[in-house]
Amino acid sequence: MVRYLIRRIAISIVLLIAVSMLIFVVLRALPGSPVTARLGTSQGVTQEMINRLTKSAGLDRPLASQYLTWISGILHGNLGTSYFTGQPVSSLIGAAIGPTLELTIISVALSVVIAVPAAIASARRPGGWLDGIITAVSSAGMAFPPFVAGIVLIIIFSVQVHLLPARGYVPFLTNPVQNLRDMILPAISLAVGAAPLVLRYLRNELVTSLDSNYTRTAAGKGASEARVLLRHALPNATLPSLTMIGLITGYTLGGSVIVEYAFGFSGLGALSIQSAFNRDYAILQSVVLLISTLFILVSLAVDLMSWRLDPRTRGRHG
Amino acid sequence: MTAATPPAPLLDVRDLEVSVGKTPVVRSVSFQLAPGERLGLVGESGSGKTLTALSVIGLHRAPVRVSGGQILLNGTDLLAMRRREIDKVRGARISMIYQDPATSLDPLMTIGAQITEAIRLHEPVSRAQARNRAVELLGDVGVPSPRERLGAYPHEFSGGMRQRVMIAIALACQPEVLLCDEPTTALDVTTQALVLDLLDRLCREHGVASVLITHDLAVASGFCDKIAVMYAGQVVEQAAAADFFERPAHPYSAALLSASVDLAVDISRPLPTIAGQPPVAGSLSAGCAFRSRCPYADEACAAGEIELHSVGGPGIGGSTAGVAEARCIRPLTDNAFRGNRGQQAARLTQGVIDG
Amino acid sequence: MAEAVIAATPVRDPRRARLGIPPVSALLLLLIVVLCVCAPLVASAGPDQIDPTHPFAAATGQHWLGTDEVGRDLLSRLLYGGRLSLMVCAGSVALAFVLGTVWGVAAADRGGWVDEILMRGADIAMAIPQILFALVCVAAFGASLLSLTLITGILLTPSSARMARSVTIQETGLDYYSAGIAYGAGKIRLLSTEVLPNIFPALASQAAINAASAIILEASLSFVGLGVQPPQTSWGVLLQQGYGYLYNDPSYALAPAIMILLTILCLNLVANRLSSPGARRAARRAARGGRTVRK
Repeated sequence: MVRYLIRRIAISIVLLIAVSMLIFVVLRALPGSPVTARLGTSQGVTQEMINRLTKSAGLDRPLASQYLTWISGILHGNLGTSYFTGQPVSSLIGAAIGPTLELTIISVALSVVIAVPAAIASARRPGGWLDGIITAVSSAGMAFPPFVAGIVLIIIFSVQVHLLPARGYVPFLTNPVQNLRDMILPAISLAVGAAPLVLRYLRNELVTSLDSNYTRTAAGKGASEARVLLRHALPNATLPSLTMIGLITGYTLGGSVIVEYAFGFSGLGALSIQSAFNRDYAILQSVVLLISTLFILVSLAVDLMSWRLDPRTRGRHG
Repeated sequence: MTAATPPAPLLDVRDLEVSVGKTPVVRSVSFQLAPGERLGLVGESGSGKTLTALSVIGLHRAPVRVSGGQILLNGTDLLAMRRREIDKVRGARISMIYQDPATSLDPLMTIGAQITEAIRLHEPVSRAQARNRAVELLGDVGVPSPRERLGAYPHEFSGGMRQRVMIAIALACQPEVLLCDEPTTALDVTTQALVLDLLDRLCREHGVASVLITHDLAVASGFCDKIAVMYAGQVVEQAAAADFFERPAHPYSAALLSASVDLAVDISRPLPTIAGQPPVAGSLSAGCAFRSRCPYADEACAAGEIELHSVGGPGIGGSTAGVAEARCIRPLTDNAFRGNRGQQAARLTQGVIDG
Repeated sequence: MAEAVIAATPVRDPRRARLGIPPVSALLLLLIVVLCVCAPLVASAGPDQIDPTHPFAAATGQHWLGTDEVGRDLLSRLLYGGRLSLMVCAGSVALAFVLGTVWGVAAADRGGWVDEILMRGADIAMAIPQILFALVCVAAFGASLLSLTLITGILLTPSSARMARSVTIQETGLDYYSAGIAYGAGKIRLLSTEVLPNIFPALASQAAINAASAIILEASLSFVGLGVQPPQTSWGVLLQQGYGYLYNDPSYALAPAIMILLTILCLNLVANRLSSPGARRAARRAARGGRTVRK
């Protein structure tokens, strides 16, 4: 029991380290420092300026040493400074993480809230007309890249009917109502693609479960259709579907990068796009690592949760 | 089936027809069950035994549907009931035990919760009372230290123990009819005998009428008052158990009997088998379904639909099991010249093995 | 017997299947590709032909979808843009198919620590959300058309590798494979002449999913200005430009959005078809031609 826990956590840590190395190596795969790449083409830049910037960013040292500086900095809560503005990366991230986290949580929650009832409705009569409609709608939803969904929603709700704001983000504490209004369209944009992923998986699990012998036993005891569905089929279908929560969190974190840009949020996505533009590796590497870490942690949490909830894996008497 | 029927059968299945899509797979099946009586429904796999039982309790699933007939419980037709009304019958008045105890229990619920659910669905008792009843039930079915085991999950039980739990669930509300679908098939041989003894004892103690579905005639012979043999979705013979094993009327019954393992037989000889395959549903033509495998068959057997009819005098069984009936125009019981049963059986299986 | 009847699940449209008519999704996809590839023949004007006197013109007989801010014909820009989007898509999918199949089959075939290393490698790459990994790569390697194709292709490779590995393991676990090995058939020969045709539908299905991802990646990167660079045009570039004029002319952004949606929808549906058991059997028959089928 404890061994599984330790093993699963260890795997995540190794994965995290490997991911950090991968990001770091890819960013430095090409010879030439980001400083030259960025400033080399600009006018009025002297070699001396480049040298100074390179040195101040620590880019003249060997790769391994740069990597270790980065990692040990992270462990001490110091992410370094932007190559260009000199601002500390941690404060940039601190300012940007709020909108991203809020958007991700709302989108994932919204996806689940849409998917679960739809999956239940769909699974009750597999092959029926309702199932057909829901399947068709979810196929259509899956075809929407989040930012394209966002643009379509802006056209409908902001341009045509002036109902909801197309751009901007106000922190929740500043103005809760405005904050939630700002969240509606981006969250829907992300849920349009994410909800069908959960929906399909859960529906199939529900259909399997409703066709199983134990749901027949329950019906044989005299349990009503609703009770068989909610008390027996749903828990059994939900357990394997939990992994989809991890998956759509990754989907949402990735999708929010472009969605934030489209809706003018100054979140982690916008920050990463900005730093990719500027080749500000100091920011980019930390932001990408942070988002990947969130993804890995959610996957870990989901795994541990299903392990904990399943009496067959948790061991005798929980 | 009209002559010797006692006044009010508990369960009266009349001309049941079950179809998969548009293909009938169970055709005009009728049987009756008096209180406390035990019917054995025997036949090869695919003969429609399980579908018959599932449709009696309404647990068949699409695309299977009941396409005709009546299922009367104390005179009320279950097929005419709404789902809500059926829910009140299931588990309370008719229960079922299934073939595969490994998958028939909810893997995420404790044994205790699954038994108390069965109780509380039909009886207005408190949680604690239901728990106490569950402990009693588990003790009755022979699960050791029942109170501790209430919190255990199905995967922590062996196959035999799971089937005992299934029996506890089925009997939780003292039903009048118990449908047992191959209750021991998935178990190993020693456990089979134990579980069967348990069922036998509990049915007697509670006065439950039961339908035992099995392909194993030895199991049926020890348990049942009367036997109905199914072949290709039809009952081809129905008789009191004692009569049936002594004098089977339908050639198929005779073949089935001689093909079942008899420990007294010389084991160096190959086991007798019935040659050929049962017909596929939907490809049946008029006449006897068994004729292509029957050594006595001729053109007359293909002539038309054969009704289940009385074949011989009153039997020696009790209650409704009075008259032996068979769906055969030349029942073995009628033809003295065919010799005794041993020779018949020998000829039957011999013929088909050679052929 | 009931089981036998139940098991025979009906084909959605047996008549179409028998006649060998491809599904609507595949036909629509083909239409999109043909229209884009033949853009010079279809479009009424060149994609860069400006007409400053008619900015944001409404749809007319001459400009079916109207014009953009400098009077360029939107339809022709859409089709020419599609060429580039589809080119990046095709190139990256082909790259991912080849690399992924080799990667996956090697892992499945070697097993042991080689498998472990190869598959953990895939896990690592897939732990970074695709678009972020793409940003990292674009920051490092630039956003030329070639690097865009290569980056997308490499990003899609791990998922192809996983699919290839799992179906190969399934396939080589079958009796015919071990029997073939036992009879002394060469492993490479068995893998290439027997296993590969059998796993092809699964790989093709994955390729269709990858194609959808590639379209999304290209559009995303171009939309934020890190993909195809104007004056070159792709669907993503058009989205970006239309996004700037949402209030002047919503259809400017809507047109490329609809093209992207349709393409992805068709690709997803084709992928579903390919991974269904019926399609697998059919493709297997087709791949094997008249040769003896194993059983």
